[in-house]
Amino acid sequence: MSHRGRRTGSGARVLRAPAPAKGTIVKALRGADAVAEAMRQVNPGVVAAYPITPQTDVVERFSEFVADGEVGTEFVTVESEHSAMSACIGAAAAGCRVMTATSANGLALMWEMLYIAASYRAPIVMAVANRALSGPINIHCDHSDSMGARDSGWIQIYSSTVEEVYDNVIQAVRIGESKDVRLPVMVMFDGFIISHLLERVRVLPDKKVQSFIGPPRPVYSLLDIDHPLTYGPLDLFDYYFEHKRQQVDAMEYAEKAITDVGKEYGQVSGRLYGYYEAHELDDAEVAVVALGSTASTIKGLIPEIRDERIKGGLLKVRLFRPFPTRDVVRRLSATKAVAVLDRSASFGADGGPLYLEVSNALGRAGAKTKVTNYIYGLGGRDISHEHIMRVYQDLTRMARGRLKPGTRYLGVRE
Amino acid sequence: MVTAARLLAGAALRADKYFQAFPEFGPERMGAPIVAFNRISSRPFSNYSQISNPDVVVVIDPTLLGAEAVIAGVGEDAIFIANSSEEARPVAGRLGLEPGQVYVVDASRIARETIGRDIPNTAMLGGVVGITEIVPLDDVIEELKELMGEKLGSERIEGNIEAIRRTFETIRAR
Repeated sequence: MSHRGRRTGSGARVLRAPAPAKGTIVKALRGADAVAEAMRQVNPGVVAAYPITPQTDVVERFSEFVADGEVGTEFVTVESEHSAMSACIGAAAAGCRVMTATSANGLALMWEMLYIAASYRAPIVMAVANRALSGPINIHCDHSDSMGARDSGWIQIYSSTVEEVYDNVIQAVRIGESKDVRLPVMVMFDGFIISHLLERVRVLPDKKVQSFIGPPRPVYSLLDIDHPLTYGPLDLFDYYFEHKRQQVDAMEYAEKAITDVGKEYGQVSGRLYGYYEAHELDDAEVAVVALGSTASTIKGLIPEIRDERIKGGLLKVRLFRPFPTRDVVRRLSATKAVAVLDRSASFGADGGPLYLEVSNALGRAGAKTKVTNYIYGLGGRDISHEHIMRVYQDLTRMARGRLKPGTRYLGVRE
Repeated sequence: MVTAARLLAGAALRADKYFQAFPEFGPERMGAPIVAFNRISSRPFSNYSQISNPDVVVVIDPTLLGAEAVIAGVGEDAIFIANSSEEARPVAGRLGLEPGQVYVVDASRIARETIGRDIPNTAMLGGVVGITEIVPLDDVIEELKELMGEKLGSERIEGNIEAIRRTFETIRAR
């Protein structure tokens, strides 16, 4: 699509990837189908889930696999998301490989259990079809659900195409179970925009997925009666702080695990995954930082932006937790102006959550780059090509000192 | 409707093209007007915005031909394909479009004659493929067999294939 040979960064998904795996089948799948397909191939010991739009299709499809005997999973139908996550935690503590999926208010209802899953170091994999939180009631995409959970101790991976969510769910199993990491992983995909969109997905052979993830290796299993242990005891000012400090360390170890797993997945699938994706950043004067499907849309627009004689680039954030602070500094500090696109608001804060991370990273590094923020797409409001072009045009004015950085809103009636 | 978009996407996959198919997002009610979208290209593309300026508009329910929504974002270069028993000219006049950009096919009549019921969705696909040549006709038929074969049974599948072929040929004959 690019007529000038897109340059990608070292941490990025490079164009010259290894050859696709033998036996790969190209299928037409929706995002929800792709998640269910990855779950089928992983064949987890336990899935406990409760339906909520737009995640419902994931659970529906997976329950068909269970009913048809295509997986050996113990599928636990529960009465709420709070119970779903509780069941997942119990199964993970018993030593099972565990997966689930949710959206929006469902994620909100899991809240207290999210923190417990992370502190138990339970490597649960959860697909989150991003949806706006009520109220008013809205079933469409924004990122306020998962952004709210950013401090819960879960690794957070954002996907920007249907194929990416498939790839990320498989990699999440390995990342979460990595030695020294042992953390739960959320894999985000935009509700409806990705979950209900049908496109090409290169599906790996079942055996390739199985050999990539390997058999479950229970660590600290409650069922290992020769090594009795306790989960969730009272932990006051004597050791609670140390346990939290270990969670901080685990997130640091996760950075390497994510990079290693992405590389290894590239060898297996022909699709390399880095910590982030860079497009046309090498000579960029201005750049946009975005995640989710919008990042893909911007990627598709970069040739047009370059045709407008704007030296524009894109940094697509894949990992929000742990956040690629060093990469942001390395790739963006030479640019003059950066716009960060947030699909969620942080009420009362000085901008959206992604903006605060990027702005903090560049500010602490002493970069002279001007950083500005756009809130967009709340409740599924469309972000159009015109909106994106306007952002790049604003950036060129900002780079020349003709527009001040600040928080602006794309596509809202004011 | 959503199935028609799904079929077109599946045919695009068979033709080794790049594609997207998606419904108008949100809750669906029986009988309410619904919209579904396709993007199809022989080259990879990366676009997840909604479609506001379509190249091709297909109206399956003829009662919607007076609705403003069906011409929203339709430019001079767009192709408009309607299920209608009228000629193209009066339909174009009513919609305020150029007669040259409007095509009509009586998909409802063809559906009644081939499937036995007024289910014009598959028949319209024959018209779309006949005019745009976006995917080969055979790929649409193969996709229909695979996607709907089990659900519809061989007799109704044959009826649907006949409907697709007839609209394809009717529109090609013009």
